[in-house]
Amino acid sequence: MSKMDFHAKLAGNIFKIDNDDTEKAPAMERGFNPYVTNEGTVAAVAGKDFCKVVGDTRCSLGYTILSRDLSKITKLTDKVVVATAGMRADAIALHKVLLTRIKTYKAKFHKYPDIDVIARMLGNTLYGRRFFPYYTFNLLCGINSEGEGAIYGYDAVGSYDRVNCGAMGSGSELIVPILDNQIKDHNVLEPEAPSDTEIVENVLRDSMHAAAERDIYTGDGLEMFTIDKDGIRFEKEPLRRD
Amino acid sequence: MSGGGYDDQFISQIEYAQKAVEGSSTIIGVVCKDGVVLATEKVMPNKLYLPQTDKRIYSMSRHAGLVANGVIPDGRNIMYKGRKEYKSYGDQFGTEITGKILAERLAQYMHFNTCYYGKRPFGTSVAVSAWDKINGYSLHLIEPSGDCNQYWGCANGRGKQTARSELEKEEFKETTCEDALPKIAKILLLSTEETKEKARELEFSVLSDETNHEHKFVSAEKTDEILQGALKAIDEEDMDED
Amino acid sequence: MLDPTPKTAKDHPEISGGSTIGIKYDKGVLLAADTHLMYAGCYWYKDAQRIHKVADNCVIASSGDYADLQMLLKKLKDKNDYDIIAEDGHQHYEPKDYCKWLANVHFNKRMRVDPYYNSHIVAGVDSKSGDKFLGTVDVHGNNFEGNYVLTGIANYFCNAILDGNVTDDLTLEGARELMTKCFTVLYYKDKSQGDKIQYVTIDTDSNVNFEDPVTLESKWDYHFTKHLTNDHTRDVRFKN
Repeated sequence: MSKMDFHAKLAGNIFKIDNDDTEKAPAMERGFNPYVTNEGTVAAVAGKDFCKVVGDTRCSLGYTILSRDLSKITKLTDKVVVATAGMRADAIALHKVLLTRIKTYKAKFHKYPDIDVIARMLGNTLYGRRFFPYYTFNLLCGINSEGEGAIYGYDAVGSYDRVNCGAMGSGSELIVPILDNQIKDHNVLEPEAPSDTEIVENVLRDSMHAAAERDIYTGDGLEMFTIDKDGIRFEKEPLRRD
Repeated sequence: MSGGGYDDQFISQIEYAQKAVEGSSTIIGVVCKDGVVLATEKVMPNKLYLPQTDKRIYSMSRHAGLVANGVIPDGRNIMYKGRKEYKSYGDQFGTEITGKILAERLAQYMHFNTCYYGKRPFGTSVAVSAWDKINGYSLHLIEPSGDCNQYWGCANGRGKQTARSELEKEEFKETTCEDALPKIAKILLLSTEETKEKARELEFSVLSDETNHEHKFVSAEKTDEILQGALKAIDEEDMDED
Repeated sequence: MLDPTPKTAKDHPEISGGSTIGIKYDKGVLLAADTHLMYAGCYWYKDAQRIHKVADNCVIASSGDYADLQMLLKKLKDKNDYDIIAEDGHQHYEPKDYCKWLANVHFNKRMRVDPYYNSHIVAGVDSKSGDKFLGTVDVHGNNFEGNYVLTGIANYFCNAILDGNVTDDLTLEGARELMTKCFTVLYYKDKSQGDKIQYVTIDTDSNVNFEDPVTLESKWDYHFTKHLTNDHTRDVRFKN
């Protein structure tokens, strides 16, 4: 079995892909599993001329908490942040790659890339590891060249889409319905992006607190990033610690 | 014989290399009661040079130093070879390389470069100071030919005749490194009297009990102090003679 | 033509050490580990050093495979030596840098699916600012800092003891007391935990102090352990 196949099999196991062509996995799992999940939740809402991102700061391993204060959100440019749930070590590596590639872009073109450019680049970066994926679930959030709030949601291997709100990670199942109901305007012919920052902020805050009530992997601290024409602002507040 | 071959038992290439050494900075190595001192002098060829640039003393490991003259980049090459030899010996045998073996390996390397048509001898001679657990302190001088000898005091370069006879007069074996430094400075200055009108800089390194068997450079301030002291001492002697 | 045989890698640690704990106190960092190494469920070495000095201002304590640790220590030593002999005026590596470097090495190895089976605690004091540093690195390359950090099974037993008790004004005595409590719990509950504990402190003046290992106090002669669980054992015939 080549190294590529080996990774594909690992990835297959992780993502529950039923692949009959590969060898049957041994009855008992042996050997080193390069993947772990540290869980955690991130969520974001794009407004008319702003974007708000929240993430919790818990880092878990199984039933134990490794750290109560580990940020999931990294600032990429003055207009873009990336929020990542999943495996921390992979996320750190991914964020490092993104920052490096943005630096290279800046050196080449004398401007920072817009969010749609970064979005494609992140997609390509993730797909570049199609056969040994980054075990990360990303939300790329910021404002685009028109000044509108923009969010791009990804799966682990790089397929992505622009959305007006989204949630990733262990608490996403709890948060997505709230956002659908409060933000998405499913039953409106022409949905409009929210313009009231306070409402958006409260919806996100409530969602995270709600997730922290039920999801054991979400809690400890809440980080909120606000991106608008004035740049990026950052606040922190406590969440349930149990 | 055609090409740069043997000529009355001399290999002319090596003669040229030795010429390069003879016309360049004096280097001195001295074994004292409690350690080894390396020293060199250089004429600042350009008034635009920053002080302390163009150093000629290097560390090969924490317990081995080297001073080079002649073609300085050649000397640096020897130094890098020394670092490699130190590391590979340590990796293989789990113990640090002794000064004798290190010097002999460097000599072997320099000799190797005299043996082949496609290579040229190194235009540098190096003095190697080292400390090891087995033999304690040691000092070796390697010539461009690959000739390697152990000394308690050695000198090479333009002032070698004077320096060697001056070294013979002193009882360095009874002196500590600290006390030897001004004497060595004086010898360096005496041996290069013809350049005394020009701006000169001295360099020292000490490898002694006091430095915990580690090869340490003498600081710029202290070197300057020693230089001024030595200049004054020489002046006073001249006055006495007059 | 590709080599048809699959590349094999070590898939579990061989000789390995158990939990280590690091706690920040008001004037420095306290590290502790037992002195036992295990092999196949047996104590293999009983007085091994599991806390190592990697630079004048940096100490690491490691759980997991001891051979991998020795390899890493060699690399760290080379790194430190080259840093020093370069004499280029460049800032020497700080504890934070060693921690990041270890994390990168671990991540790189896990990407090759041939990991270093260790988790480390990196402790030290920044030589410029004098700030305390306490961080951890695991098999996968995950790393973070904290007021207290744990490796190994201590993650499951000792969080509850330390959480909330490690405050900014914790004294060395207080930290040591907490540490002793943690190791006592581990000694009772974790079969691989030894009772000889070595404490190492590194204070804000960068004084590193390796203490001699001390033996934990423990009590096993409870009624049930003595009489109920060992009903059918034979009496001890040799006593010293």
